[in-house]
Amino acid sequence: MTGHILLLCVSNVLMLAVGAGLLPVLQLAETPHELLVRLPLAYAVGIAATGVLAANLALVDVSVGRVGLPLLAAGSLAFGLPRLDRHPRTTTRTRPPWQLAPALALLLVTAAYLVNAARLFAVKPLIENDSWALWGTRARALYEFGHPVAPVFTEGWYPALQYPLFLPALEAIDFRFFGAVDGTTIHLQELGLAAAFVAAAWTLLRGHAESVLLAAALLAIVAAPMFFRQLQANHADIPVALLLALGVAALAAWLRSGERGLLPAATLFLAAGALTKNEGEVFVSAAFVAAFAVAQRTQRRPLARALLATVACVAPWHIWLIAHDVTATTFSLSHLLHPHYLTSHWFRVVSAQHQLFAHIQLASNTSRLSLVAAVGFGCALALGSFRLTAFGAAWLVLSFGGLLCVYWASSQPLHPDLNYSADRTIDTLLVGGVLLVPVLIGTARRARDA
Amino acid sequence: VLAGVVTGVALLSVWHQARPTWRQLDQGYDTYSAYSPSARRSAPITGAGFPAVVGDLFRFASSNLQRGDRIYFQVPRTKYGTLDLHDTIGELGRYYFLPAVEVDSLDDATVVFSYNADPAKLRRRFVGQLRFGPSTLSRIAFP
Repeated sequence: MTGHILLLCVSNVLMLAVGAGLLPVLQLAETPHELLVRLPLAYAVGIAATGVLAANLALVDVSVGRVGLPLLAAGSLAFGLPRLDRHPRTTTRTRPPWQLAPALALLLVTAAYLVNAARLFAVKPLIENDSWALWGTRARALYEFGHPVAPVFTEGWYPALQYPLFLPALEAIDFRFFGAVDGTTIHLQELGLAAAFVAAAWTLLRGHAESVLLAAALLAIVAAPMFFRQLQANHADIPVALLLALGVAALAAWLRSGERGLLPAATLFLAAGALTKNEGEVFVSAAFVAAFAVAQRTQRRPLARALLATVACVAPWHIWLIAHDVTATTFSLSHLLHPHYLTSHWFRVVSAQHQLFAHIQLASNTSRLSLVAAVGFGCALALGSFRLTAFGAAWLVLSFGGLLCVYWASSQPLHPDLNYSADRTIDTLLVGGVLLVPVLIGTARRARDA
Repeated sequence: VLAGVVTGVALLSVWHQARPTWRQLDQGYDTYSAYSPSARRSAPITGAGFPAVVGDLFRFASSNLQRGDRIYFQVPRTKYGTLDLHDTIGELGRYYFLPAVEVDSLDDATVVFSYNADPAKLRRRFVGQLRFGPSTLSRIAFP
């Protein structure tokens, strides 16, 4: 097992290298010093980019592993590093370290939770049903065959055929490094994603938020009972929530500041989130609709390019599904075009709405995250951050509406479906809502100070 | 002041569940660190409510499958907890028997995995058969 943990570390260091090479390309670092300072962000960028690439390459039978990942890392570094400006003319002013001390203390507590979780994740086997029957089977099949093979990814007796490949492709990379399927060590990859989320959120958003509030929001997310409970179950809901939250928060910061690098980062994280689970596509669509609604005229063209880039990342999977005639899905959006279906199944919306709200407010699962988001949005409004708060609220409302539509259009019996999934499908709303708060408050205060 | 209020609410959220979350991680570690490597490999099976010996059965069957094998599950459709025995064994087999894949027709299969069922009732000629407890692995053809 120790050998596998070391090999997992090697694969993740290579993903970090992929991200480090991409930072200059995505305009997230322009000088060697910036690259060094933003290395924590490189890990999340590397995981997201590797996952998106591996998921799409798998569709054309190219597997990323012990050869492919080092090549990818070398290529990324060779392409990105020469773009760095080695003789920067300006220097950035940084805050005195003592001002960051309270925030760093909170980040240390967050790190302590991640370390404690690492102890558990290193010994936890695949035990929850979906962890092996769904995600484990898909990852193992990608490891064995290198591509989404029939009948595993095409026939109705295998589960969740419509789910995209980001997470299985990422786990298959680790299995290739191990040279075997290891249902225990693989949990550490999910923990790596959580650590990358904390590091990336801090690095990416620190300049746009109050550092103490940002650190407190990150700790609140990590300490909520649902966070590690679901992450250790090898489900995709927390990974979707983490990627979407990073994407939406970066998008909000870009809408306010227009700072270079934020939009490419948002695009990458949103694309990765959309490729992790189908609900991710709903949340990403909601984010772009909300962003277009509040964007200034000059922001609409770059936003349209970001949307196109996201669609380009997700489209190959849908083309593959159509080309392989994969029709056995758990929900059919065409139902939403039939008035008779809609009226006769209205009860599904009412029940789903009740149960989703109940889970959002369930403190034993989500702690007080919904309260943090509600108070945060209220304070942002009070500080006069109308445009960004409108963006955040529109994203949450549209995403919630999208979830209701999925339950409305689902062909599954409603109550077992809700009982099984309602506590997980809300993750993105809570994590995204809470991570938006420091950005909304921070930009509002900056606007007032200016 | 408002930023301080929101930070306070965030820290309240942390305070509310920080200790239970920490305990949950410790308890999980105490439980799973006691598992042997074999118990970890069989965890999906024991987690589904089968005794540990069924884990050995799946490992035995898996070691006798080949890449390219197409497997048919002959399992009675009886109630198993809140589930169905056929679906539960099929679910476990789809995970454990990879790279062998499941087919839904006996005509497409190279191997039959029978659990609590008699393969003779399928009226097929088998080129080989292995028995392990309540299960039989019957080979119809090589891939």
